[in-house]
Amino acid sequence: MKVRSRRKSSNQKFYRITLFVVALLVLGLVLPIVVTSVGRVLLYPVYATQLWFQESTAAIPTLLREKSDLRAEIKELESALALAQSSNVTQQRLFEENVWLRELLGAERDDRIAAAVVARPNQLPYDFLQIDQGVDAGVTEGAPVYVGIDNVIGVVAHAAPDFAFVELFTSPGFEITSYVSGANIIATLEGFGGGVARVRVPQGIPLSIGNLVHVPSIQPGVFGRINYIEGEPTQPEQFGYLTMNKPIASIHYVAVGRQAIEPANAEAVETAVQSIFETQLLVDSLDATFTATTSTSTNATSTN
Amino acid sequence: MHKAFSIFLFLVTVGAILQGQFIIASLFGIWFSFMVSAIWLVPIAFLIDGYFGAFHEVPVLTVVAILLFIVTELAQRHIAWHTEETL
Repeated sequence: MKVRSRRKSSNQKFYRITLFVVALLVLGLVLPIVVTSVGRVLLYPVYATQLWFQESTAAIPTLLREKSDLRAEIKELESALALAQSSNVTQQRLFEENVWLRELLGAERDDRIAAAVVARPNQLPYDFLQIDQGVDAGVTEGAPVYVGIDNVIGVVAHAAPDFAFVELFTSPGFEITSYVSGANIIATLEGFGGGVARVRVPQGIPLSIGNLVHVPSIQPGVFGRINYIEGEPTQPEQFGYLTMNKPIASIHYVAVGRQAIEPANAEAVETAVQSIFETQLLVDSLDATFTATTSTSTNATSTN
Repeated sequence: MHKAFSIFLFLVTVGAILQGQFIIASLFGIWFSFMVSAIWLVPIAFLIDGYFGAFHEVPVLTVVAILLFIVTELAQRHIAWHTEETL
């Protein structure tokens, strides 16, 4: 009886299968259209199901997609929350340090009143703002109005109990004494309207674009930078034009100083100084001695 | 249990190929090839290559599956892999 080896049988099976799959491969390479058609027909349900899960608006795939999206969003929010908590610690530390330093320097913490802008040009005439705080909140006429820490934009022109109007430095006809850094000169800042103001300086002053314009009567008070210079050599003056750092339409909140200022121009300063001379710089005893001396000499003359 | 696990390996391999996760597919495919046989992967690779029109160029999956079958079959002859139960 002829006995076939188990190993030999296994080898023959292996060779047959290998030959078959290689033949299948060659068949596929020879007739790719047939194989492609067969593959598309047989695998269509699989990919159709996959597409259904990915793009269908039916309840189950939508639910599964939303679930995975929500999980991804939760992970993203958790990382954002962790980041926010770490930055919150930094903010808290900086805030406490700020409070400590302000207390150390004796600075008051509530020297300004926050107010929201409720109306602006072109609801109001150029260049006015209406804010939602008034006398009841401590707003007084003449108080400086800030955007940010030291960017002063105008003064309170009228304060009602629960609202106030702010006249911007760019209002036509508004004048205030300013200091132009860089050029190192005191000049009058004039409102020009339409969100534009200008400083007028004599020819020869080295005015340049980018010079900061301060309002010395308000501390801290920076109005803005010179954006454009108009100067003709034949004219005695040159003008530096400024616009506000922040457009009027972008101003939503302002801070109002509690202490009112008087706009300082040269005439006002001179008047104030003269008033001080007349009322406070009097020496009463000198006047009495001078009067007595005069009367004595008069009497002596007449006797003679 | 062994049969169920083999089916599980096969499904994971096919699913990974369909999802384009080729690293996972190769890991489970090699495992399945040694546990059962890579010959079962050849028709699937053949169909997927046909579906994507790979026979117009190079049917990579089919070639890899055939090579995997040949390599694992030859390797099993030199490695004491099968137990008495599987034989």
